[in-house]
Amino acid sequence: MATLDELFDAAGARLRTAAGTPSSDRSASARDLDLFLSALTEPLDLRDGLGTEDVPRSPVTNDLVYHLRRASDALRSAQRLLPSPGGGPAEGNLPEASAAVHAVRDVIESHRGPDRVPLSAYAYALTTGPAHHYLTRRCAELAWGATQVASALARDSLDPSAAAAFGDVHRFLSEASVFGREGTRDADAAIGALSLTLPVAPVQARSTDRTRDVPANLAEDCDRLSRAAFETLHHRSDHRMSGSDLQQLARWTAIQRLLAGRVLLRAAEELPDEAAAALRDSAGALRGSAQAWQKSATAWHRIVDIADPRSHPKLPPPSYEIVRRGEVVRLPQVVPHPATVIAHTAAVRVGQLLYGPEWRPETATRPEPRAGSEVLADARGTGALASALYRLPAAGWQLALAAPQAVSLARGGLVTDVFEQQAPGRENHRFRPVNPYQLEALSHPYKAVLPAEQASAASLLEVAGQAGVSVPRALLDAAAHRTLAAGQGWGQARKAVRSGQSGFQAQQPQVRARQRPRSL
Amino acid sequence: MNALDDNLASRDPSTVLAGAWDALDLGARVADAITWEETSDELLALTAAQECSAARALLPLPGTGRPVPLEASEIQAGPGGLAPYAGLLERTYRALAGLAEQDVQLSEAAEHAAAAARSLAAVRGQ
Repeated sequence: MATLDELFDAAGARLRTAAGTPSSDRSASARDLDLFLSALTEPLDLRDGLGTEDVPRSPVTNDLVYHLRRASDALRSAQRLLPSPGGGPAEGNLPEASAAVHAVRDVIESHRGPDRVPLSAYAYALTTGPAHHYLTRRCAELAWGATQVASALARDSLDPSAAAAFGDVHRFLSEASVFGREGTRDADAAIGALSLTLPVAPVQARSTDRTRDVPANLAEDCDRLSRAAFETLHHRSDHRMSGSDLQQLARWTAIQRLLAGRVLLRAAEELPDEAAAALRDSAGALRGSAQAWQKSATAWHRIVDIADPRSHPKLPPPSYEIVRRGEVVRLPQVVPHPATVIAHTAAVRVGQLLYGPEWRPETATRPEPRAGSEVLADARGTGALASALYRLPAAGWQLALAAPQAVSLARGGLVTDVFEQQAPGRENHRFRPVNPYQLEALSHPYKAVLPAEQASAASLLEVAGQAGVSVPRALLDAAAHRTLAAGQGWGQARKAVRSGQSGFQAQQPQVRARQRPRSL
Repeated sequence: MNALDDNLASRDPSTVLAGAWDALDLGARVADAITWEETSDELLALTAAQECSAARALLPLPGTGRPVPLEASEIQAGPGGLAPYAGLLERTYRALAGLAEQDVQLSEAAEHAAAAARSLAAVRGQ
């Protein structure tokens, strides 16, 4: 999925090619440049914030839009002086630049719904002044690219009045770009890492997937997971997570972390000592994450969700008679929450990177991992590997933040067969509703997941940093997480990433040792 | 555990399903208890627990009975220590497969039970 930075870069590259290629049909080029300029004002139309709130557009952005409009007007004058566009083969560069800028708008729009409700945690990041200035700045840079196209057109024009009109276009665009870049020094570069947000749909890994696509596929899985977390936090989904969804989500997440750790250990075998040690540290941190997630899964041992269609007590099991007669009583249909399916998919993907595309967890064998050099080649190097795996704990942190909310939503259907005293007359009923303490015991383990995931993320960012790979996404996540948690600890991350050192205040989950025999 | 085996061998489907539910419940607790032990393959243990939960979630909740008690010290050390539990899961798989004939969901549960048995048997190596 292309990020905003990539889209702006692509548009810039197209403009440079267009300016360097002599136009065979100046009328058509003028029209295409006009279309590009109107596309360029789209990302700047930021007056609509989230909900009913209106974010005032900054004077710099207003100026840029004003100059772009003047350039458009001058371009239209030029078009009137030129013959109608011919029917020859169209030049592709300007339309492709417009398409890239349209895609910028699509990325922004994907984060908010029709009523301007935020659809992802990243929607808030887009509402700040520095975020607007990022867009203004990148558009101003593209305006500069457009000046080059305009001056090429002026140079090639034989009609002096058309040449003068193109000269005006050039002048207005130059002003636009100079003012736009001058006034936006506070632009938030982290916004450039934003990409399209994906719907929470159950996606599956296939054995035909190429292992070199694992990093890109994982990024999409993690995006869907973080959106699932957001929807849970904000009650945006009709499909709530059941008890068994939460338990299985936690286990698959733990399995992902373990596999990611093994991937790093395998890659470390190929590296010199110092780099290998950093990878082993990350593998250790990921193991801590796995333990924290597994602990949250074990909290569900004696608690069942009866609202969960998978364990509905009322439907009779098919009797031998019925089966023999061919009248099968169907048990309730299974519809797992998409997040559970995606967590499984992500686990399979990390496993495919390590063991090859045929690997599945349920084969229950101990396969020989692929060579570390193959893993590193698929991931495109140590830094890129760490950067790809970083997405797992970043999304996991959001899930762990949302999980207590999911527990609370499932509350009504939770029953347990563990209680202090059997109520008289209820001896024949095995399950009864959970009490508040048991509910708290379900939510509590997720608190230990948060710092463990932070530690894993910080450690992976350090590996990426050592390998000289920047992870712009980490800055964006830090901003989103600050909004999500408002002071839950991720806030320090942003400063830490900025100053290039790991400052995640990682607290290892406290494991309380108990002496008496554990009842499991 | 003997009572569970009796239930799994019962002629009454609902007793079999209740026995399977409790056996899978026990399997998940055993796998979770030994996951982080030094001699365990953590991935296989997590997989075993996951497969038990996935199978259990497909079965109806038992109306009566009690959970099988399990103390950490009951699980014997060494590869053989998990064999009784892996064996129970294997028998659970057979019992569910026997009922599954035409029911997609029960055969899915049986598959999960089989995978759980395989994973748990392999956790401590051969």
